[in-house]
Amino acid sequence: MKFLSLYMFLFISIISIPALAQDKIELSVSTIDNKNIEISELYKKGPVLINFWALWCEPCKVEMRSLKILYEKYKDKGFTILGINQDSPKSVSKVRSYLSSQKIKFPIAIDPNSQLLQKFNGQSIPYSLLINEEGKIVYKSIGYLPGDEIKLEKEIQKLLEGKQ
Amino acid sequence: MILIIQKVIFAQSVVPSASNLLRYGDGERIFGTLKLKQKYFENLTDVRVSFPQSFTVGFRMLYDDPPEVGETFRGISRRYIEYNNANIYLRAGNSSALFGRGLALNLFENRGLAYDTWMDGVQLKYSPDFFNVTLLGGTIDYRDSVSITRHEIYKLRGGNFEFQPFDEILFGISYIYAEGKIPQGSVNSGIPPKNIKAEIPEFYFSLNLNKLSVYLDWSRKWTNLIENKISSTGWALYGAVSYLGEGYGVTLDYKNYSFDILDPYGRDDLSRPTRMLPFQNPPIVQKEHSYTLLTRALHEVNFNDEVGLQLDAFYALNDNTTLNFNTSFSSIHDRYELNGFTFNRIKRAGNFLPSFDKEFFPYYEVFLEGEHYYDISSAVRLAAAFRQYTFFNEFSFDKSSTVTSSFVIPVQIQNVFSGNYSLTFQSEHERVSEEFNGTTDKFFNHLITIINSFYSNLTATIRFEYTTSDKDVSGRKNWLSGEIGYRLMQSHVITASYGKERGGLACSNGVCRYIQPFEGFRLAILSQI
Repeated sequence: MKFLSLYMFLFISIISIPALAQDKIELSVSTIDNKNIEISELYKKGPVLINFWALWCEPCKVEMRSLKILYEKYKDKGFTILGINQDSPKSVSKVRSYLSSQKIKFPIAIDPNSQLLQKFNGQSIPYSLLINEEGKIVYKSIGYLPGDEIKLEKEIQKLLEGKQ
Repeated sequence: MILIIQKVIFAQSVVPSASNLLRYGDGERIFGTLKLKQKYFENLTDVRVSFPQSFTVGFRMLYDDPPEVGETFRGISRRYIEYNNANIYLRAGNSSALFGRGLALNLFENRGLAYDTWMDGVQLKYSPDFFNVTLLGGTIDYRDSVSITRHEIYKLRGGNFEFQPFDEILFGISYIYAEGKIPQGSVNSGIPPKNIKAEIPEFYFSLNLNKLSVYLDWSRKWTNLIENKISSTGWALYGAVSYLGEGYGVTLDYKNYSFDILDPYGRDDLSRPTRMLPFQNPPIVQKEHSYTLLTRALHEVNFNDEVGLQLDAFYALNDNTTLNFNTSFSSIHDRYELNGFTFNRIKRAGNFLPSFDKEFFPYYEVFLEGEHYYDISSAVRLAAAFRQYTFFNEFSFDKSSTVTSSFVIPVQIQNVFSGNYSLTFQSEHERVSEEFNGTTDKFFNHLITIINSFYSNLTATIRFEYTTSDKDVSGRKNWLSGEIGYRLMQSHVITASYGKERGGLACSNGVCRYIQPFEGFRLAILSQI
């Protein structure tokens, strides 16, 4: 009972932590093309969306399509996307093939053991985090439901307007 | 008090983040006429606290009592301290790890399957521009996912060196040394555990050109049984070639897993100490499906004795239409002939490729899916999959076999009516045939899922499954369930469901577990903060 009480305390504490209580994001990732990317280099230029996804996750692929459209629409204004693939070693070879067929041009990092997902306390995918030019998370989305892209676009526009 | 704690935390620029998963279920497990009450309560809290000077402390509090799968646990199940700055990453405590494609080492967790090979120890990584060095050492307390009361304990030491002279080329070498204690027989059998020492070196190479990528990974495993003074040697090879063009990509994967080729007596002994060890987990070289009826596996990958190929291709007909074709084919290497009470191994010429002959337990699969978007997120998906697995009874003189074939047609229509409402309709139809000694048992399964989504926050789902099979373990012919999901703010998802769930054999990363049928209420609250 004591343990359960402690748990309830911890649970309420977590719920009441401000949803976006994160420090400046510092992250170095290796892309699917064996290139290293510092995320700080990306957000210095404009808003960055980090999107965790996998080939086996059908909502991720639906979301990926709308992300591609948003990227094409706003990339010239400084917006970029960093996709972080969560496929395990068994299917990571197919990821490049999928990206090529979908003509996805934004960088994709691989995270076969979910180490990066854990850094952001992710337990399920798709999981998206929008980062402003100061490197702070300003918007999050767990899962994907049709219409999410409309909310996300509004957040991107807000950040881009603030940049001007 | 909570607010005070938070104020103190933020004032010192110490940044906490957390995720919480609460799962509760109350219902029954049904096996034919037998109904067993089942109640579970699980609360899992992962907390990370980042300090200045690149330090992070994290822990997992787990209250799993009574558990849905696995063992009862109350307390801190994970804790670690991490230092990550410039080229150096140091972590002490619990951690996962992956070398290459996992032929020598792949430490991961899948809670749904009660599979966890995370290590408790130290991991150091040094990554300047042209190379990476990783050293690790620790202990794995592994509970078998099929029989979770079996504990295997391994002391692990290892290292990995990756050299990347150019962006396009990478060479990797790994070495793992493990000492393990492997229980024999059932928990109360009184048979002492086997002590083993294992050495696993690995070499891999990766070439990533603009259009072509090649990956090759080879590993060898020596296992020494200390008490018996016996040693066993096995090896594994994995390769992948991908070619990319404008609007298409093709990948060919190859596996040749020979970690522990044994006759049928040895092969069926899951507690044998010479088999592939649980901290290894190579690619399965089969498609991982997202359609429900296709996720119920016909074939479990045998990492100790299996050779196979997979071809996967994506092709975009235009900006809105994509095709995905996948085919995979696997079998064991050699066949065995019963000679009295022992088996003679008959080597197969060309056993580096799979065989369709029934004596080699062939499994093959052909999958084709077309996806067409007629709006930003409104789409139609149509797929067809054929799978066939042959189980050969080597103990019978009449060379009997069971051939299970499955043909599945999934259809999904997802339509966004407005920014406030969308509807997804999914139908999966499966025809199954089981042939044994000239007799054929045929039945079909049909699953319908309807998902209503309101304001991108609220979902209402209905699932209905029907079968004509008389052999389902639950004794049922139909299963109906409903689910309500609500996304609260940006960080919380609440899901409640009620009804009957069929269960089945679920696999991930080559790890399989039978998910039992369930009838009752489930609640899940997920928070990622």
